[in-house]
Amino acid sequence: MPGSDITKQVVSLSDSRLPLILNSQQQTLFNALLEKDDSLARIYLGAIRVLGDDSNPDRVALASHNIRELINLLPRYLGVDIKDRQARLGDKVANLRDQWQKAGTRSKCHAEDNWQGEIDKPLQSLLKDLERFFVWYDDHFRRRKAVVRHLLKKLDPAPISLPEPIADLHVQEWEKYHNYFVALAHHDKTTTEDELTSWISSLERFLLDKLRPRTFEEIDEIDQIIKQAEENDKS
Amino acid sequence: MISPELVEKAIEKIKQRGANYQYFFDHLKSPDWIQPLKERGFFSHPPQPIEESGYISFPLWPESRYLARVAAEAPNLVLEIALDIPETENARVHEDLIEAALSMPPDLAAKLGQRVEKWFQSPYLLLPMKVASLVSYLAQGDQTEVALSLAKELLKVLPGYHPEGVVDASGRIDPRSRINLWEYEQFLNNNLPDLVSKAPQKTLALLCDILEESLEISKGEREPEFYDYSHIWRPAIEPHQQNWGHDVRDYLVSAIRDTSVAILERIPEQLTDVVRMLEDRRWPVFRRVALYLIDKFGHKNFEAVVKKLTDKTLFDDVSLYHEYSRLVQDYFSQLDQNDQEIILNWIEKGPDLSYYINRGEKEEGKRPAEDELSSWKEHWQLRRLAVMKDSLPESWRRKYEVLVHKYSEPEHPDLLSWSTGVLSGPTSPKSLDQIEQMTISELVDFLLTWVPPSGFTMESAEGISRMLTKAVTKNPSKYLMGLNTFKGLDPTYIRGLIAGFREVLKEGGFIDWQSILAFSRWIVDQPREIPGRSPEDIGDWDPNWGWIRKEIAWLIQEALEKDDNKTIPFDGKEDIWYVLKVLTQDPDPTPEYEERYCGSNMDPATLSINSTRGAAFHALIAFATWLKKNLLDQKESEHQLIGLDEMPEVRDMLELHLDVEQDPLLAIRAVYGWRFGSLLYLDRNWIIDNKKKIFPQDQALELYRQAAWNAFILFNRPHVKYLDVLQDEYLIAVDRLHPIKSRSLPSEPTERLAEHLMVYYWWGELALDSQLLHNFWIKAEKNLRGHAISFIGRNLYDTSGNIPNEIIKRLMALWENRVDEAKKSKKVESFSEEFKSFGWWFASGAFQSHWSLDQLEGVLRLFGEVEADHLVIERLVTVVTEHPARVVSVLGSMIEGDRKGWGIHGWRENVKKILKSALDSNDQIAKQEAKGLIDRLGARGLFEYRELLM
Repeated sequence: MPGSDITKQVVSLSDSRLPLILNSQQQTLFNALLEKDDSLARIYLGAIRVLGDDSNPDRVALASHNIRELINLLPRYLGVDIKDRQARLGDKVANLRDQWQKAGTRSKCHAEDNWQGEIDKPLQSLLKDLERFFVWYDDHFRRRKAVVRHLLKKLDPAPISLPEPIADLHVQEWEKYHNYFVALAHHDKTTTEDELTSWISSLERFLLDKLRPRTFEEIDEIDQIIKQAEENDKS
Repeated sequence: MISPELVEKAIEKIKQRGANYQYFFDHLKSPDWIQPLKERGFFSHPPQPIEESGYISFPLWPESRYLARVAAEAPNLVLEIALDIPETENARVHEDLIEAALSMPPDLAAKLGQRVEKWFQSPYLLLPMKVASLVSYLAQGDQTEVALSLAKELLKVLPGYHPEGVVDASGRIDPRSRINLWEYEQFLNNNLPDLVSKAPQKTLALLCDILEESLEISKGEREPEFYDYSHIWRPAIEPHQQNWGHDVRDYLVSAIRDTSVAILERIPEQLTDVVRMLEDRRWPVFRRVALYLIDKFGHKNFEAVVKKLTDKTLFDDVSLYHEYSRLVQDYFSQLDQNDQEIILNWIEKGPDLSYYINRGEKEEGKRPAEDELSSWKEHWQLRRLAVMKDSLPESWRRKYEVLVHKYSEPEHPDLLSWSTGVLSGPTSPKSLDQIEQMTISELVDFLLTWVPPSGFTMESAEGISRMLTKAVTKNPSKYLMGLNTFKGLDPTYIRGLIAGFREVLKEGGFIDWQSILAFSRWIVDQPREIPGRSPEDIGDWDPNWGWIRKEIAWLIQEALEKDDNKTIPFDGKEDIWYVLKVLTQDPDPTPEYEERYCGSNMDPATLSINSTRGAAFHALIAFATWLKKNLLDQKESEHQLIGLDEMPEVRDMLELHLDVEQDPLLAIRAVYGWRFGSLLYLDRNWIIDNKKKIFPQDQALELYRQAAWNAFILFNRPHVKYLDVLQDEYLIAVDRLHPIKSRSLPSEPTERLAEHLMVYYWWGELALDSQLLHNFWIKAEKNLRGHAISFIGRNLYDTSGNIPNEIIKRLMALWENRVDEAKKSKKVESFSEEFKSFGWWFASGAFQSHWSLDQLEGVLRLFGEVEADHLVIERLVTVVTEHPARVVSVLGSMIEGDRKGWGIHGWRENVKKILKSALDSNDQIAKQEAKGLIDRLGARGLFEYRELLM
């Protein structure tokens, strides 16, 4: 079958010169990601491998980069609609700056660092560019929260959605992971190996909670909570 | 008081997944959770309806379900929370809150009831019966104002739907109930009485208001004010078989009647008030109800009866005719002589004849004759007197009897009209028994002299013809013996007789063919057209002798095809040929008819069996086959040595009609394809010489090719002899494959072509690398390829017993070949239909489980789903002990692929069997996989699988 030899391809990575030993949590997550898509599993495995390579001085940033990619790519591989974000914010802002400078020199409304008078053509053109930029921005950046919410919903097969405030707690948690690994990947933040391992482990648990749920253990706990609360209440 | 720590712990668990959230709220028993949960944001975000792909769904809200459960225990708190919930159009939330209201004391429920009123503005009112229960509950609890408000919403009427806003000629538009009409009736019958018992007058007023609204809606723009036609849509106020009861107005009238009766049964003295209230409404239907009430309760208020009976306006009002007549019927005898005479004098004077005179002048252009007017008057008097016939004074009684003698006793004199229901289909003036009892000459005399009655009647020649068919079926010999006596009758009747003989044949009865064939010769000798009748004027009589010719063609074809016992004498062949020669030249169908109706309405093959010439051609080929069988018997010759050269007249006829210059009909060409098997049996050499004529390759004759090929492929099962002779034609058909656009035929010819090829491959007649199969996989679009693979799978599934190993190997080779092709392709998606069909292959159990599990896993990995999923699951049950881990893994993939969650409900028992088997196995991986899958099922909210872990 097409695609049926994927496992072999990935397993061959672990046969390379550096030995890679996954703990049980990592192995389970690797298998779960593999079920979704081999690319996801490969990115994750790459992060773990790079992190384990003591000879690589930039391994933290490189591993974090992969983890960030995993976080960013998950929606796409799970069929969540994502707008094309190839047009980068920086490029857009730089372009806008050019328009602003052009309007500053050409518009009669701009004099001595001040804007005044009736809107003329160069200023009108700048305002239109600004409008277009903010529409684009809204469409591509403010949607992030919606994309994450959609992703988390997609990872939860229950026919009933969590109430919004509760679902938002989850979104916040996901964003916390995202921001942490982005900062590391961009060298904006320093960390210790222990702290990084702890963050990765926490993210692994978060993902496994979705991909490999232990529903009935949690249900047992819910039974216990209800029983304890209502019995206490009676007494 | 629930401790804050436990609330936080609970929220931590809820947060993890929707299933936990649902389970938690579904299992809370104490209302003490409400406050702390409210403080943490719960009870504030009811889910909105979800619109998707043209459908709308209403998600459950665990929080409102919980509130409904604990409302009885903490009604004030639940009410406070419920009133604070933001507005939603989610009908399920509405249902929960009404449930909660029904568990509260009525005064609290009334506060929630006020909110319920607003939900009627939502486009999704799904729960009128819940609201109806609330109306009853509130009424019983003396909360009548809110109950009345809710009742008003439930009973609201709206203008009915009319396509593109079209209303009838008078501008009328029927009213409709906002809620389902059945529920409307249920509410009026079951819940309204609770309201009536507590607030009778207000309820009656409400019902009257709503009836007025509906009358306003239904009033035509050009009609007089306050004219309601109620005597038409509601012939009687009392329960009556003439009341059709399909309209919201009907239900309201009954409710007003019953509510009024309930009031008056309790306090009869209120008759005058109730009547006045009704009569103030101005529409006639209210006056009718008032008259009904006076009739019913008049024995306690005779003065009211007298007043109404002696009111000339009521006597004259056509709208009130029925109720006034009933009042007269019930009370005329109790009137004093003076009052009786008032009424009798009105009758003596007669009706206002100006209406009849005006109508006569308008329609006939002249004033009706005096005797005609006199007859109108007497009929009118007769009906008026009939309702009081038992109470008439002697002189009037004699007068009535004279009128009865003159015009007969009127039926249903208290109603202006009487509907007898709907007659269907043509009927015979003579019953089957009556026809059976007639001698042949009596029957012929009757048929020669019978004239269809004028006016509205279903009696017709066609009705008699159908009865004749039945009579012949019961006693064919009687009609066979007298067959010649029927000569000279209309073809409509003779067709009935021939159809009867065909029925006898179908049932295996004996027929004297000598008589039938001689009679058939006489029929085809009749001039085809009948002077004065036109084919366009299809009434009760056959338009010509064409229909019976078709009937004869059908009869001969069926007889010849069933003649295994040689009941048709061989020397009858001359008669048969004589008849068929005429019929194969019949002008039905004409090329113009074929061009007009063939295509999207009727394919050529269907037209062939429904036209005279087409049916004759089917019979012709049956005739040739019958001849060959008889010749083989006579000459004891080799099958191959007898062909169409032994019957040159048939051969010439077949060849003549293959020439489009001679016969341009596609329907006739379709017969060659349809009867290809018989033609091949008749003469293989002739087929080889003529197949290019039957299936012409010239693009200009493509329609002829299609007519013949489609009929061949649809009506002939695959046969090695066909492949032998038609291999090149199959190739052309594959090369000219077209995408399936719409199904104009019961089965799509391209699908049948795919089936033929798959059968030839299954039999080993076509190799995997044959040109035909190679071209098919290239040319066929994805659905057709899917159909081919699915066809094999379904046949594998339907095959009982062992399939020979060589076939299994061949089919595996085909599948693996398709997989290889998919691997080479850049568009795996274009193989989806083929691969999903593997479900049938797997479900058949025909293949080794290792191999079939490998393939199934691959398909599921790519597409997530397979055809025949429930059968696949059944099959998995049988192999789980052998391959527990793999089966659980496959099951997991299928559950993942079941995105809508519909499949899992159908599989549940088998899913449990598989999981239990895996859990009980010694395979640790299988156990682990099974446990993981059970958790995933739990995450879908399917908590019933929890029992497997206990």
